[in-house]
Amino acid sequence: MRIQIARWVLLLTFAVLWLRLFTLQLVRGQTYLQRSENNFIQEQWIPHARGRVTDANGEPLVDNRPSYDVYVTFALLPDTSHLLRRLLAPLKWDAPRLRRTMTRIQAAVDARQDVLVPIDTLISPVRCRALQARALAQGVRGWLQQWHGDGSCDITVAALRFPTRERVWRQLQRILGLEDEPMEQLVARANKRANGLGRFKPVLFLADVDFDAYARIQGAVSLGALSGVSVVTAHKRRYLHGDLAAHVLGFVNEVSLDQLRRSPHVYRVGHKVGRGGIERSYEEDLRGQDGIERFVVDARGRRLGEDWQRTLLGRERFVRSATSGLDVQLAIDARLQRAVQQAFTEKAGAAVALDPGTGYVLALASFPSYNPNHVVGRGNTRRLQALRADPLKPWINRAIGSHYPPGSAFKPVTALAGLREGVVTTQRRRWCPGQFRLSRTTWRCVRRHGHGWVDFYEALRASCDVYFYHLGHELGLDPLARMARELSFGKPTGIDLFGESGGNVPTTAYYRKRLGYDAPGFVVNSAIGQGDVTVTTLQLATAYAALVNGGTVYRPRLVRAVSRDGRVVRHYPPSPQSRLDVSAEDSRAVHRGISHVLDKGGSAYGLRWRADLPELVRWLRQSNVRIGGKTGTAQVKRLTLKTGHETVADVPYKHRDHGWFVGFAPADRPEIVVAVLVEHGGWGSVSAAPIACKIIRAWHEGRNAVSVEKPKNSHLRSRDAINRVSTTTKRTKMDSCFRRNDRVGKTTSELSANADSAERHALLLSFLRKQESTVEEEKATGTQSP
Amino acid sequence: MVNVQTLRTRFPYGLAAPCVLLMVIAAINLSSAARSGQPHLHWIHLGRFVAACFVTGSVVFVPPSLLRRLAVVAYVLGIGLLLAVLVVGVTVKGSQRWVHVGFTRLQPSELAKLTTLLVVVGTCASDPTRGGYTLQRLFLPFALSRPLACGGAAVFFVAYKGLLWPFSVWKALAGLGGLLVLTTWGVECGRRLVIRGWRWHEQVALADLVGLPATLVFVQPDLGTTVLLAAPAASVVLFRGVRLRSICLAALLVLVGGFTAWHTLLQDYQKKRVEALLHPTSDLTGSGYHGAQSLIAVGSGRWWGKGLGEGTQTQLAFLPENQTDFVLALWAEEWGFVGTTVVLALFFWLILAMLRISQQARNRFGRLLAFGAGALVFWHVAVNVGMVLGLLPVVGVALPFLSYGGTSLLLHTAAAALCVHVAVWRKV
Repeated sequence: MRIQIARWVLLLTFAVLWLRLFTLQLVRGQTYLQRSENNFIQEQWIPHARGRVTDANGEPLVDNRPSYDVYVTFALLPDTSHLLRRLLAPLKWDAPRLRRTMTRIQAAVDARQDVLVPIDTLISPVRCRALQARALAQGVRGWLQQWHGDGSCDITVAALRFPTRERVWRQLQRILGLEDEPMEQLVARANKRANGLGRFKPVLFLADVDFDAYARIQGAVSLGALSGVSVVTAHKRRYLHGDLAAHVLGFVNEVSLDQLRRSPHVYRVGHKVGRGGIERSYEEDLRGQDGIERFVVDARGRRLGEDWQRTLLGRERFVRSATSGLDVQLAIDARLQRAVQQAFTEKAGAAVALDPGTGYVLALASFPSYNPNHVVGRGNTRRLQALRADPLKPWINRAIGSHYPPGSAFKPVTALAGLREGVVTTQRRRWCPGQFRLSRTTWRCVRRHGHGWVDFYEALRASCDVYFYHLGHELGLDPLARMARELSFGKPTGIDLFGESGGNVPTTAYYRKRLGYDAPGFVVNSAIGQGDVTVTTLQLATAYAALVNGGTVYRPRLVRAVSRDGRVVRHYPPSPQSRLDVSAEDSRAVHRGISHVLDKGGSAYGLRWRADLPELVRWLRQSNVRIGGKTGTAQVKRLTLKTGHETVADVPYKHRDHGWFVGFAPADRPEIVVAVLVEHGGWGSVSAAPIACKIIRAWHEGRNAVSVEKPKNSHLRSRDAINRVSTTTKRTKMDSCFRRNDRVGKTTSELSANADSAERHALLLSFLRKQESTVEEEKATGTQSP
Repeated sequence: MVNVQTLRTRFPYGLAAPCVLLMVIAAINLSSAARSGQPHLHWIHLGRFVAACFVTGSVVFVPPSLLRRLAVVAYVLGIGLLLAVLVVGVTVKGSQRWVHVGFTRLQPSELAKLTTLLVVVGTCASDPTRGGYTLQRLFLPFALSRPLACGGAAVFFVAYKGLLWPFSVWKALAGLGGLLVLTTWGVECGRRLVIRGWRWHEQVALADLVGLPATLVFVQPDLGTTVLLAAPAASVVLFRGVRLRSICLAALLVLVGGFTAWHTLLQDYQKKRVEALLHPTSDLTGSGYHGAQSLIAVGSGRWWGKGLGEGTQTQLAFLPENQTDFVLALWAEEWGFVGTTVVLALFFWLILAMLRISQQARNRFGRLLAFGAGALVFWHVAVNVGMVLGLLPVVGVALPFLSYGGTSLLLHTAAAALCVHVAVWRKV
């Protein structure tokens, strides 16, 4: 009976066990199989190379160079206590005695003295031989045996030569040439990263050591010293021309925790992410994809031999090879950009050069600039701090990110608005007495005794304030604002960069909201680009491009194409945003009005007589390039009559006027628009105009050089025929939309200009559509027959 | 007397067959485990089995009356070895379990399982009590002096450990005090035995017989062996018969005792193991690692297993203790559900055969002996398989015949040999 109970208990127990076995192996077997694979398959990432950035002519601006990163595997560092225990095993010591000896050696190592630590004296001959054999087998350094005549011996250890973790650190420190304190910090950081099972994995010790250190570490590693240390080659971003186009290119930095959390499948710890400029806005194109390689590891994380890899992984070993990022071709011309940065000798400001026919940005610079190579990474901390502490804030991209009152450079906008609304005509003249009164307020003209009788063209050329006070007053705030908004003021232009500011174009609604009322005097200020009107340099260049190209507002573009291995993946054609709602006559009138700024009576006429710029003056007089444009001097602080008479140098820097010059050339059929801002530079005609003219001169010389010599990279030309000067190709009607010479030829026939420009616009759009489709076709055929 | 003829006719082939089959499986299994560790593991295991068969097989020729007397001697010897372990034992992984005996290491706690079982069986068999044991019979003799003795032993033990390093006068005094109490207790025991006559099985509480070695094992510390030392003995006592009222009372006491033990007695690592069982995913790199890796090994075997030598959990050393405690996980990984079912079936067959021998035994001693041997194997299998399959906390319990380990193999071979003894000495 009891046996029977026992049998039942037995049966029940085994049934429970068997059912559990059934559940584990058959019901949940697949899950556990997966988990067992997760145990032994470790994936390693193969770093990718970020895409390169070139200028319009294919000159590389940013590429990658190999970077040597030092890794440390803590589990492979020498373990002194373990080694000592093995060496001293013949002595059959107990644990406390062994520990005491270890403490003594450790103390000597900590004290950084190359002292001899006596381990034991007068050991019997038999044990002496055993000890020697072990020491020889291990091949340890710093192990000294002194033999006595009777075969017994003393053993001492040279603390600093004995293999210890400290010794590895010290050797590494010597090779890397580090001070004590940063070395300790590095060791502590690596220690922190290597907690737990991380001891078996290589952790980053120091990124980007120089080639010399790399070679020395490799040498030491191959000799068997420095066990646990390894060097890995990775890619590091290199900005080839230093601070050239720094604000356009941006820089890369390690990915932030936030970004990692937001897109965990895209980024990994240690990835570099674009932090500004093209690097940021074209991050998705520039970024490649890391490759994945699989390894079989055992429980201690050690990588196993080739036979294991084959049997357990087979073909699945290389899951994915690394894909490098796409190359980005900018519209920037590196030579022009260099010229811009050389021409700008003032303290702070910005310069933008646009192609008015396409909206491509030929050069864009903000000053002061910085070197992107020096803003990240080791050894740059001091430079970075200096950069951050700089009161001029080199970080800021002034060309797009800061907005300033445009001053007189805004007048063409007012003029065009006036023509459109019919407030003025080009014939009607006004009397400029040097001041403008509205109730009890007086506005003064730039010329204190007045211009006398001025007509529309005269007013623009000489920059007569009173003319525009009248004009603005009669025009009203909102029509002016409407015109300005059409010309891309008051909102971001949509350039392919982050951090663009929209500036401000005040309307009556704006003043009502801000002040609660709206006064007739506001528009008087706005008409000459003062008061609450603020613009960015880029906006001004964009607006002028629209003013001189017949009325098309282009969205400024920095990038022409994105390609992989020379094959265009995506093309960025010019993107016309809108057409100005003005008649061609009005448009031409304004164009004509601002074409004579450097001529006699123009506000920048003085430039032709500047004694301190003999080369520029000579060029201006001799070359046949006519430069049009508009000066601007924006008040920062109202200066009283008394202070107004002071020289510029006496005014505090922060209170000086901003100097503007927006130039274009050739004046009647512009191919380049240059906007220059000199922050707190005083008169625009004095500070900004020479810079703009120098830029135009560099552009002109560069263009001549190009048209004389054979085109260097013909494939580029064939790929995007837009805006290329080539007289040899047969001119088709389609070409005529884009080839400047032809178009200019058409615009000279002024009667048909209006119809022509509308037609051109339609043709342009259809051409773009066609081109996009061909690019897509290219892509499609490319994937079919790789 | 046993002669060759009776041996041949009465030999329990139904018992020997599963043993041999299990040993074959063990050899195959260990040959796989040997690939990543020391070679010839399986040959050593088989060699030890043969040696153990010869050593323990001789028990067949010992008459039962002599066996009962020898059991007492072995018990005393076992206690002595357990004490020796505490004094001169080898510490492995934080517990002192092994003692050097000449050429090899011995795990006295494994042997104590057998000797304790034998002595309990002997006591129960010769006890004239009818109608089941009461708690009084199980616990009462020396009940009052027991806490005193335990306290004395504990104080002595702590003080002895303390005497080594670092030395202090207070510890020395405490050790001497503990020794004094123990001596007093021993003298009192001896006095009572002399006065009442040498009928020790009536005088000594069964609980003390089990409790003494169990305590000595528990302080090693080795929770698994403690349980598996007490459980077969308790099974034997239950099989002999305990009154229902006493069982209920004991259960109540165990519940209360268990609750207090959790908060006072259990070592931290034991608690962690129990907690890891309750929340297996909470700490995979720490205390739950053993259990989790074992489950992965078993589960990833699925129907037919990964094949001999292909078990990644073992070969790549993710599964700890894959030659000893978790040997079944290795088998389950490489031979799958089918292979593991075969192993479970063999154990089932073996224990059934033992129970059958118990049923056919000549007298109460034989009946209890065979049952005790069966209980011993049963508890080992149940606890080990439960642990491997994640049903029970991870305690150090070897799987009979399959686990690598000399003492464990000797223990279970001896259990089988005792059953053979009972079968051979049964009434015709």
